[in-house]
Amino acid sequence: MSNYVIIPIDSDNPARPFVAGAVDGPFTWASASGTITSGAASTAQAIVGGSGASAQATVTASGTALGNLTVTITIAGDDYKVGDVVTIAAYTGGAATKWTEPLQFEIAAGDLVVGDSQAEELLPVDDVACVDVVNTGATIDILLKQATALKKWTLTLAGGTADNYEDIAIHVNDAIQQAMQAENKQPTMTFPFGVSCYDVVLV
Amino acid sequence: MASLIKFPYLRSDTTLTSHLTLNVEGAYRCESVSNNIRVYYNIIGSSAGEILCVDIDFKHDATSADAESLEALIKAGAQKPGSCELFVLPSDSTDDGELEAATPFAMSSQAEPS
Repeated sequence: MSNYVIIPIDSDNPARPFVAGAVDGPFTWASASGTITSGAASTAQAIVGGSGASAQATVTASGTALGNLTVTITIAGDDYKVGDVVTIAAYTGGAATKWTEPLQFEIAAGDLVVGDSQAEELLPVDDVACVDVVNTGATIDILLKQATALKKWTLTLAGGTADNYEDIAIHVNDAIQQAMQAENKQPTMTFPFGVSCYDVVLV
Repeated sequence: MASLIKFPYLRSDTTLTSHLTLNVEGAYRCESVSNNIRVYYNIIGSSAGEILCVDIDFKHDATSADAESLEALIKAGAQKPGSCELFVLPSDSTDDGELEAATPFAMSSQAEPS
């Protein structure tokens, strides 16, 4: 008989990092219209606004129109949501692409990392060795004791902070322990602090 | 049902002691290695001749006698399905037998002990 724990997946626009690469756009001026000087990729600029933080992107213009812009994510940040309207401040330095007023764009679904599409993941716990306790990063690793490779389940969380990742990991540890000891049951894992899980992968 | 061992773990942001759990189903031997306790499992490792291990890092240096104590607890727990025994490092008189905060459990593939 196998023991499992059910992990509910947050598929309702969870807060996530950007995915690396070009964002969809379109791009507009945040307020006043500016001018664009085409050139090579700018130095990475902060993406501000919306629900997230810490993302950066370069801007490359192949012409002087807004439609000629390519915004490429270089630092993924975290906690952004689809529909957030974010801004990149004006940049007029250097010899590369320049723009004289802040740019903005609305985050599209394809701009953010993709999570699980199903409502829940059924995670077998009999092979779980332990939970890797961390206090940084939005993922929690559940280490497995399996032959030939060092495998793990990685849970990716939305809504956590550096202040509570460790507590969440301890909570996950306790939930798995209970699932291991709950014969003939499949308990559902809950997450504290309003945190949710949007992706579960076997690595 | 799996046999578990729980270890005291002090949360970094509070003075509250929690516990972290290690599944010791299939564990058969413990040794003191580099001041940690290495738990050997009857599971093939990632290379020929190796087996799966978990190194348990405590705040206090673990001794051979500590490893023997844990091995005895694992063997006792194996006779009680679903058990979750508490292991407090016996030689630790200063840190309450707590796990190290950074990476208390490290999984690896190691040569089978002689």
